[in-house]
Amino acid sequence: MLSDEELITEIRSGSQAAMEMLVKRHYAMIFSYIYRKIGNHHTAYDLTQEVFIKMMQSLPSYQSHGKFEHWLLKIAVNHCLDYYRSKQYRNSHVQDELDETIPDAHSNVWDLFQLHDQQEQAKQAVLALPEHQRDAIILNYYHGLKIREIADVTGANESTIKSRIRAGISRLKKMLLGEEELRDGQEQRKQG
Amino acid sequence: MGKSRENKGKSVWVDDMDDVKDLEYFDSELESILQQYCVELPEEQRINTTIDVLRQYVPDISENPREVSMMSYWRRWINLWKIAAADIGMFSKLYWISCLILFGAGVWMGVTVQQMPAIVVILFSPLPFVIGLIEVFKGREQGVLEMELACKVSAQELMLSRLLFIVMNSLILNTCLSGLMFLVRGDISFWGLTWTWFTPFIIVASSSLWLAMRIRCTVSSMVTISIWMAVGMILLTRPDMLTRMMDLHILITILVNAVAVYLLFRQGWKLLRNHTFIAEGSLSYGANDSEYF
Amino acid sequence: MELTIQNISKQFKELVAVNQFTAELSCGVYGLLGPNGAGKTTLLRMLADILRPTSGIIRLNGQDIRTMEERYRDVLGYLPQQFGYYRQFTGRQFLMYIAALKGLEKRAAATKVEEVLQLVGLGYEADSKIKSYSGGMRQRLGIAQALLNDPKVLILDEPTAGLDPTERIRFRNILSEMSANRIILLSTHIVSDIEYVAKDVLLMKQGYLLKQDRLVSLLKELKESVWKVTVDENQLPVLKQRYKIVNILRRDSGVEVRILSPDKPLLTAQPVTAGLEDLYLHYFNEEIIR
Repeated sequence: MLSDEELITEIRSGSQAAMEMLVKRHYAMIFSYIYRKIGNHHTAYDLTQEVFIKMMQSLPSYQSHGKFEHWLLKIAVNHCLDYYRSKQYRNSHVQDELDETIPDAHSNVWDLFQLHDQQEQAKQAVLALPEHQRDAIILNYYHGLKIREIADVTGANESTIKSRIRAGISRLKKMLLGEEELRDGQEQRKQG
Repeated sequence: MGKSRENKGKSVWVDDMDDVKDLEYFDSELESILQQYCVELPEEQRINTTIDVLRQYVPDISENPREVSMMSYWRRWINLWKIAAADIGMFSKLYWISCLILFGAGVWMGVTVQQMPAIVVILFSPLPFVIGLIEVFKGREQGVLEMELACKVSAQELMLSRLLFIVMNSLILNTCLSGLMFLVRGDISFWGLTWTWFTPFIIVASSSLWLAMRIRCTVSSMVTISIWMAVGMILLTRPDMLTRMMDLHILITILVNAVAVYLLFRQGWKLLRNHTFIAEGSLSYGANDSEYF
Repeated sequence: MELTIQNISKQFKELVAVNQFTAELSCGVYGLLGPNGAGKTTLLRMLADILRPTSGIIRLNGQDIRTMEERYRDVLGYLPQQFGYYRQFTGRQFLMYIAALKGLEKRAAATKVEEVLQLVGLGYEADSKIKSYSGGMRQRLGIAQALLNDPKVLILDEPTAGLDPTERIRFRNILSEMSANRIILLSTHIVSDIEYVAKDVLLMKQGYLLKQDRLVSLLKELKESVWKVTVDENQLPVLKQRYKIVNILRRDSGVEVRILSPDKPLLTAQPVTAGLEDLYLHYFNEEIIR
């Protein structure tokens, strides 16, 4: 089994097969990140393709500091950021104020309880998270990245990441389990 | 920031940044919902489409066969001379004999023919090189190339080293010829003579090399020699034309020389870099490939 | 030692000489069988890094041989199908020359050259000029040069062409001796080259790999499909029309015909164990050379 770095060396030497191998190896990771981030299958496909194009364009200058996967994820994270800021997105979506301190999301809670499908619940809940919390949650929970790694990939510092995750989990619990938001390290279950 | 412990027993939020599982307070109930959120990947067909789009970004190796650094260029330059030194013994006797004969004839004519010493030098200067080309492409000629190609010292390095040697040898022979003529006769300047033969030498050398790389060498050498002889004959019988040529403005001469030198280097460079060119070209001409031709 | 051939293709203008060839080779002798024009020489040239594939990768122990460059040729021995020689050389001089090309230092080269000369049986003629050699001797010299650098990957394109039967036996013995920790791939028409020494046989047809399998397994497929029957001369034409004839032997008792047929061709026919030439006929519809 060739390492990512070895495949990259091959690609630099012109190997199409190595490129195929590298892309296939990491396609699922990138696609699933983007899909959970964006929520739309078709858009996720296009964005995934663009991320890999960016990868190919950056390969000549790639230096293996740390894991290749994280470097690639970084490209994906930034690309999604660009996408949200792009004209395209602004035009086709109502711009939410993705403010991290929104205290209330009660209306969401009721909608979610309507959905029987837990998968759909989870999806909507994740999508309802503010952008940075969503990133942190997806990377931490679905991709198993450690705090340090998430900090590296998203470019924020570790304590910020921790608080984003904490806030994100709290919000998720509220949306999905009907719990009160986390206060001072204590949790309560809200009945009903 | 304090520590928080869940009674459910699973998750512990550890403050320690270096710890492996930092934030494990996705309690089991939350997790059971979250983990249902599976992603359906696009069909393989669509993934392959993406891969096809990416193909254009894979560097094209045939245009830039090797990415070599300056240091290794130098190393290879030295290596070439080492190879040449080892390889000299491989040059056929015919080459050395031809060189000797040519040199002798050159000296004889240069010393005995009264007028136009320059003509002698001009005529003879490219000949050792052209004959030498046969040696350079010898492997290709005699079907040894394929075996040589599979060796550590690549065939193009071998050819280039032979080429270098041929050039050196020719330059030395011509210089000696000029030197001898200068010493024996009193009526010419050494540098003037040298300058005179340099131009035709360079022109013929680069054009011969160009020709030889494209068609089988023996033929191109013969062609070049014949043409050169013909030109020489014409010039000898019409000294006024030669005088006119030699009176050409110095700048033009320099320009012509520069272009020819440049072409020569480019040919040599191409020889070195384009491995496949040699291999595929000569393999098609060379071995009797009953399978395809 | 593992040579991985991944989806190798070679295209010359419109002609696809090798088509998506995939195989994995480890230590031992492999036979590459196929009719003329199957693409064997092109494949072997690519394995010898002489020709660049149009697509696909060849890996030695996981590394792309194109990026290995000299390091690959260090462990490679190659005998082309047709080759020339420098006329004025003696056998020894030629081998010394190739040894130099292979990066062998002068003293080591001299020893090695002597060694391979003895191995191929050219000890006596080593100091005569190559132009005085017979075809078989020249072929043996070719084999010798391929062995000079003690290659771990040995690629031989029709190595026994021009060798007489004794020489071929000798060659086979050399091969099986060497095959312990080397990958040896040889292409051949000649059954006896590989019949007893090959690990796997690769069948190649029109550029692609028809099959790769152990000889034993391939032959099992032909179990109960090969027959021997003795007939009269006048029955031959009918037989030739109806069945695939592997070979014909004329004996005192009549004409002994070896037939390839899924069902018993004649009442008097006896089943025989399948051999490589039956296999060849079965897959390539051509007769093999013995």
